[in-house]
Amino acid sequence: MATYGMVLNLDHCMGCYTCVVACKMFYGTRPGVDYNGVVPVEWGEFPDAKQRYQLPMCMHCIDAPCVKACPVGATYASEEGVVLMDYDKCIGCGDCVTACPYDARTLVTDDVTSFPGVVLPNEEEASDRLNIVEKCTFCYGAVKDGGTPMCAVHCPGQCRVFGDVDDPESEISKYIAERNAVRVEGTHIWYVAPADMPDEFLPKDPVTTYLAKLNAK
Amino acid sequence: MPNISRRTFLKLATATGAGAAVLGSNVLFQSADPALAESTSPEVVRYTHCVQCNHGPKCGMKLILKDDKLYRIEKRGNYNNNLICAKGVAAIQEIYDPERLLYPMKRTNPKGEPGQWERISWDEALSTIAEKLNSIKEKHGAEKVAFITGDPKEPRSALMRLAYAFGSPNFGTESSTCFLATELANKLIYGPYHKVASKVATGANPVPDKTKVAIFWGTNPAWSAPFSMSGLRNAKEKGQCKYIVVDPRVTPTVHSLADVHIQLRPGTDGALALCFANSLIEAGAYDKEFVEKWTHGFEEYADYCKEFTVEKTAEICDVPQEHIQKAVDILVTQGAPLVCKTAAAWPHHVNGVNSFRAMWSLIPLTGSLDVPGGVSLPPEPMDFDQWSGTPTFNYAREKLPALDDKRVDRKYFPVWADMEDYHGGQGNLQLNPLPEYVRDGDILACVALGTNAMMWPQTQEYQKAFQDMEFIVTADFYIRPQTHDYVDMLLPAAMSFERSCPLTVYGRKLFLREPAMEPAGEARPDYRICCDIGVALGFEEEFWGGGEKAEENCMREILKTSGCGVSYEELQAASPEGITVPLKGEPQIKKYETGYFRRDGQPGFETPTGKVEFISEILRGYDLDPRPVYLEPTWSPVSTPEVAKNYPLILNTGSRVPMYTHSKQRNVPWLRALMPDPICRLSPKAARERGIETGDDVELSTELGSIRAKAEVTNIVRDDTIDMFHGWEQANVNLVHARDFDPISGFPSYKEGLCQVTKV
Repeated sequence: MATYGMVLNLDHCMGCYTCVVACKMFYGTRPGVDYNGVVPVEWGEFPDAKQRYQLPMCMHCIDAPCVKACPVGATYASEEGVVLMDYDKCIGCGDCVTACPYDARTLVTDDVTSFPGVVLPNEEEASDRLNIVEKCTFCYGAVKDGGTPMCAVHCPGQCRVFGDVDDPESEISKYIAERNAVRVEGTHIWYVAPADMPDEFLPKDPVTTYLAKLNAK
Repeated sequence: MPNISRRTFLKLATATGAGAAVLGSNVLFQSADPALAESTSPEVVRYTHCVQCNHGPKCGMKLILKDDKLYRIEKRGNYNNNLICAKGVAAIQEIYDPERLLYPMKRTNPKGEPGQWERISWDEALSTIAEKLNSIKEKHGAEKVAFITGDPKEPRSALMRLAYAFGSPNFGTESSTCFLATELANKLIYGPYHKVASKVATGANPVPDKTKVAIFWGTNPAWSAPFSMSGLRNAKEKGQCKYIVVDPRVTPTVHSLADVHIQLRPGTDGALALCFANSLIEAGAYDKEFVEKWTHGFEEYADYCKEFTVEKTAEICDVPQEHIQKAVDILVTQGAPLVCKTAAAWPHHVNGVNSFRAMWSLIPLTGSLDVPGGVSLPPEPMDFDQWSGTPTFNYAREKLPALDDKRVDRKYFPVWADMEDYHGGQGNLQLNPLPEYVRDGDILACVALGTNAMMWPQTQEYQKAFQDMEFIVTADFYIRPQTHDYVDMLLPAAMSFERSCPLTVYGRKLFLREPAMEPAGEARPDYRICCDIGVALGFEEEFWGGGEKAEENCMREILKTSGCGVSYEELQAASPEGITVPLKGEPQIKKYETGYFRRDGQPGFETPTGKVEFISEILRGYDLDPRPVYLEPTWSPVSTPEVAKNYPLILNTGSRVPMYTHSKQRNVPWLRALMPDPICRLSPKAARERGIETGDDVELSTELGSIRAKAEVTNIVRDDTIDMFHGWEQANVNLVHARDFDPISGFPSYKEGLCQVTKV
C-alpha cells in the first residue's frame, strides 16, 4: 500500500501562480473556490529585503480534524492518506471548514461561473455542485493511475514533487533525502525552505496551526 | 460566442459517487473523465503553441477537445519550451470569452465618442477599406498609409507584405518601444546587420561548465518567461557560473539565481556597466588579444570608463559599495566567457541606447563573442524568423529599398531609420512620433492589427492621432474603448487556437501548428485578413486570391523562400513532430574570422571601421557623442531636484507581473482574480511616511496629472521608487508620463518619471 505525499520546495517557488490556475483549469472550480494558493511573505529591509511565497493547500492531515468534524461521513481519508470528499453525502453544514486548521476547504454557496451565465466546457462538472464543500484531492483520480497532481504537472519552477513516500526508490523519497525536506508533522506534506526564511512563515503541524487560527480570531 | 450558454451546453454527466470517481476527471492520464464518460465522441488532440505572452520561440501546447469543445491544456511534449505558465493555462478561458468581437463593425457616430458599432459583412468591410486606401494612394501617395501591428507579433510578416505591396514603407510594430533598442545598440557595436545584432541582443543563457559569469540585467524571467527558470536554476546548481542580478526590485530571479544583487536606482545601469568595464580593464582581466585585433576605440573607451570607480558608481546607483565590489570581484576573478541577459527595460530611458552599449560592450571586452559559453551565434542561420517570415516573403528585400525615401520617421530619428537592414527582412517605422506624423499630414490612414493606444506616453495624443486620420481600421479580439473609440472600423481576429499561422521555429527545427477549432463568429486569422485586404486592394496574385487557403499559401511561400529545403507537405507528414534543418558543415566558433559577421563574407564586422566599435563612428557621423556615455535620467532626484521636492518618488513602470502580459488578459477571470485592481507598489518606509496601507486607494501624481490605484506595500521595491503596472484602462499610467524620447532610438522613457503618491 502506498502513502502519498508532496514536497513543496519553497526555495524554488517563483510566485507565478501556475499551480493555482492549473488546478482551476483541471477542476473548473467556481470563482472564489481555489484548492490551493500562493501567498507572498516578506522580511528584511533594503538593501537586504526578501520576498518569498507560501503555498497553502490541504495538508492531508494524518488524523484529519475535518474527517472527525463531518457529521455524515462525507469527508474521509483514503487508504493512501488522501483526505477526500463524497459530494453525494455532503450536507453543506460547514463543520469541516471550521475544523480545518489550514483554511483549505471552501463551502460552495454561490451559483456562479467565471463568465456570468455561461458554463465553459471545463466547468460543466463543478457547476453542478452547490452547497457542498470542496477541497484539494491530491488529484486522487489521476494519481491512482500513476499520474501526477495538476499543480505539480504545470509548475514551471518544478518545485512540487509528489509520490509514494513508503517506497524508498520513489522520486519523492529520494528528493526528501537529497534535499533534507522537512515533514510538516501530522500531515502528508514536506517542505524545503530558503535558509533565511523566518520560522513564522513555515508551515506548522495541525494543532499549532489551529491554535494560531483561534488566536487570530 | 453564441453557442456556449448554460442551456445549450449539453451537460454530459453529473458528479457521482465517492471522491475517487468524481476526482477522476482526467484526460491527461488516460483515466476516464466522468464528465465525458457518457459521450461516445472520441477525444481529439491538437498541437499548437501559446501566444499569451510575447517571447519567442513559443511554449508548446497540446489541446484536448471533445465534441469540438476545449477541455484541457497539456504540455506539447515534443517541444523545447514545455513548461506552460498561468497565462498559458488560462488561454482556455479567453477563447470562450462571451465578450469577444465576432463580426466586422463600422462606427455610426463620430470618432472620439464612445463607439456605436454596426455589424457589417466582410465584403462591405473589405471594399470600404480598399476604396479608402486606394483613394488616398491615388491622391496623396501610398506612403500616407501606415500599417501597424501590436500584440500578437505573429502577423508581422503578412502585414509587411501588404504594406510594401501597396507601396508604403511605413510599417511599424510595438517593437519600436521594445526589443529593437537593444538590437540597435548592438548594430552600433557590430554594424547594421540584423542577423548578427538581433542574435547578440537576444543574449544567451549560461552553459554549465563553460560560462563563468552571467549577468541578468533588468530582466526577471521568473515572471516574463517562467518556462526558463527551472533550467536556469538547474544550470546554476550544476555549474561553476556566478550570477550577478541587476534590478531595482527584489524579484524571484534575484532569490533563485543571484550570487550578488545590485538593487540600483532606476536609470543608472549605464554607470554600473562602465564601472564593470573599468574594473576589468584596470585588473587586466579583459581579452587583450581580441581587443587588439578586432576592436576600435579601446583607448578612448577605457579612458572614459575611468570616471566610474566603484566608489563613485555606488553613489550614482545609490547602492552599498560592497555590493558593487562583490560583483566586480566576481567579474575579475571568474574570468570569461560571460553572458548578459536583458530585456526591454533600460532602453526606456532617454539615454537608453548608450546605456545598453555600455553593457553590451562587456561581451567583446571579455572576448565572450561567439565562443562556447559566451554569446554564440547560430551556425548557418536560416533566412527566416517567426515574426517577420522571410525577407522575400515580406517584400522588405525586394520592394523596401525603393521606398526608403518615403519613410516618415527619418527626420525625427535618423539613426533608427538608417540602421534598418532591409536585405535582412527588417522594416520598422518608429511609431512614437505618430501624433506628429498625423499632425503634419505625413500619415493619413492606417491599417492596424492588435494595437493599443495606452502603450504610448500621453496616450491622449495618440488617440487624437487615430481620430484625426481620414480612415483607420483595426483588427482585434475585443472592442477596447481606449483605442477603438477613435477608429472607424473593427475586424474580428481569430485567436491563437483558431489559426495555423505562423510556423514555429526553434533554432533549426520547424513545427506546424494545428488549428484546434473554427474561429468564433466571423473572426478570421490575421494572415488571412492581410491577404483578403491585399486582394481587395487589387493584389490578387500577390495574395493568392485570399480566402480560406490564405494561411496555407503564406506558409508555403515562407517555406519556399526560406531556403531551408523543407516543404509544407513534409512538415504536415511529420506533425506534430517538427523537422530539423540539417547543418551543411560543422558548427564554427569565432565566425568573425571567417566572414559570418559581414554580408560580403569578409572577416571582421559591418561597422565603418570594420571592427567592433567601443567608440561608435556611426554615431559620430550624426554629430552624436560616439562614447557609450552615461547621463542622469531626464527626471530624477539628482537631475531635477526642484521637481523632486514635490514629486520625490521615481516612477518605475512597464515591468512584468506573473498574471498579465502588458495590457492583455484583464478579461480572463482566473488571472483577473489574482490582481483585480491597478496596483501601485510602495516600500514599507514610503508607505509609512504617507500613512498608506495595502489596499488603500491612492492617487499617483506627476507634473502632468494623476491616476487612481490601489496601494500594495511591499519590500520588493526601493524606498525612493514606486512600481506601477501598466495597461489598466481605469489607471493608465502613461497618462502621467512625459513624451521624452531617446534621440538615437526614439524610445519613450517609461522608467524615468518623478511622482508623488498620496492616500485618497
